Amino acid sequence: MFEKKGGNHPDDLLSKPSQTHKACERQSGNFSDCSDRFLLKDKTFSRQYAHLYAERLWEVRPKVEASARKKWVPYTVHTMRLTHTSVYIPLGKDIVIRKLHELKSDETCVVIGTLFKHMELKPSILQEISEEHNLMPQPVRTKYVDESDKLYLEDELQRIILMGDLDVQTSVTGVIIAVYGKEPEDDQGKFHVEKYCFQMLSDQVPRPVIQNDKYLVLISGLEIGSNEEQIFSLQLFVDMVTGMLGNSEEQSHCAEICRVIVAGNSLSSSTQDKDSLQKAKYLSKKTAAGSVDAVKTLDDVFTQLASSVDVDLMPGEYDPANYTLPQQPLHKCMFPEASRYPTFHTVTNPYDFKVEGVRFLGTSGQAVQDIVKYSTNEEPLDILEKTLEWGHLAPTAPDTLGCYPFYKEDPFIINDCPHVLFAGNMTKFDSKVFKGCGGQEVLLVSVPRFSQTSTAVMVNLRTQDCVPMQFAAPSTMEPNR
Amino acid sequence: MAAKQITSAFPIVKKPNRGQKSMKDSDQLPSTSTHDQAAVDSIDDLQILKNFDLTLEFGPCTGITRLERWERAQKHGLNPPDEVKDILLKNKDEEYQMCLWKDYEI
Repeated sequence: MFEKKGGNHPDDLLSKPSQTHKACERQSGNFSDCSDRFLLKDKTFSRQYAHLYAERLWEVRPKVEASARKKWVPYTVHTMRLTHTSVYIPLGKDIVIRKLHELKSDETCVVIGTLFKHMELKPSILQEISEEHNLMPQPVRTKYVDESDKLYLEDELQRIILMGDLDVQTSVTGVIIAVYGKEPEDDQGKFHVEKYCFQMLSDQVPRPVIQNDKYLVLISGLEIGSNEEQIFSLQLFVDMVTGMLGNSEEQSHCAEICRVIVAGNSLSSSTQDKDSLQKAKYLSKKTAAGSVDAVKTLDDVFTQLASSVDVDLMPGEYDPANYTLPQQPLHKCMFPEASRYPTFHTVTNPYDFKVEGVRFLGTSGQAVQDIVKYSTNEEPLDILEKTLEWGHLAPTAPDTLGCYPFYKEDPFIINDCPHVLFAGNMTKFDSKVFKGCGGQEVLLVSVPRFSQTSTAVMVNLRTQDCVPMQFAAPSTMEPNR
Repeated sequence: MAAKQITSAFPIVKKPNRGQKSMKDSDQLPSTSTHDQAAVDSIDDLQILKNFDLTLEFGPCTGITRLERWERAQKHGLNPPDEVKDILLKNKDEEYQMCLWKDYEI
């Protein structure tokens, strides 16, 4: 892609070294961090998750109510006698919003609550220790969906089963929803849904107009420490971004990269050596953890990167950070050399920030992967789109995704509409522009695993375009004859 | 069914403090009448706080202090009673600040 920008730069790669060597200035981007809500101030785990669900319902309910009032206007159908056409006459009054304990039979109304998907195959600790099953462990599956899954709506006090137009297979637990329908007299205990809606996406702050092309690079899944680590491709990437490759034309294009975001899984899952926990201490005394060498390599890589460009490192599923979301920033003591540069930052997962007025929001992929496991959704972009519609980054937390027991806020609720929504560690690169009903345009990016695809993603801040940056390396060496 | 008194199944158990309290008051100076009033007030206050805990509209009560729960209810416009906050600000005792189930590890 760099070749297309034609220039008349003479080929200075093979020229003699000259005294007047022009240095390229890297573009800088106005950066501001909006992730303060993901930093944990106090860490008390002695709370139940009921607080998080209550908080979510209280905070999102007014917005869902406003969305429901806007969308659904009650009407009656009147059939004209002569022409036999149906006319929809608005009743001129508002829809009735009821709590579950106030439901009257056969009254068409709107109920707002949390969705709960009852799944037969969901791993349950109670089933695991149940004696009836003879302590057989449940098999680990890729998907826990089943035909018999049911949807329940829960508000603060009660729950009711939902029947009707809601697609059970693509829904997940934890979304706040408004359903329009009624509980029929002859089928009490079930709510027949005619229509449903979620929180409306808030208005986007318009993007400022940027004069020059500026790029932000997203990379994830470096997975150092495994057999599949792509050290050569990674070194190519680092050299490219720091401007060590190419002639001065290419270097000046790379100078337009103002920031690099590493979206999780910089260490591989094989560095999380669970065996050492089982072994006796005297056997494992002299063995170093698998992650030590990997972290040293990473430190080296980030030192090279940070010496030239701003780097934000997000923790991922296999990184030495806490398991529950939101993951806290990795400790800087792991990167002694890279930490000397003020351009190196360790940040939270999920990460919310603004560069040149463009608002980015993204995760290292755990929320998306969890939704893949517990619903029939497959495409990461579809899931990202759904999370925007639902208004929540990680609805399955805390049900199936580990989450910190918040009581005062739910930081995963999407209050401000981002311009770019990304998820790291996906299987392939993909991008799409999602157009919201209020005129919002969000670029959805699925960042692939670098260890599998050797691909990074460049996002153009001026045009909100997205291009993959792919590195190919000779995969195997010729065997010596 | 004949009208049965609940006290036939659950007899009233007199608390040991009750008898002692009246005995203490009778042979002490009249200034202790405020002490007695304070004791009654504290029982009332605790009753009000207990009712605040058991009100389901303000959400779950375990694991957080009553003041935190009050602030949270206030934030979401659920109109928690102001007297509860007054009582909580006056007494910093653990009995007042923590919820009803503070002794249980839940």
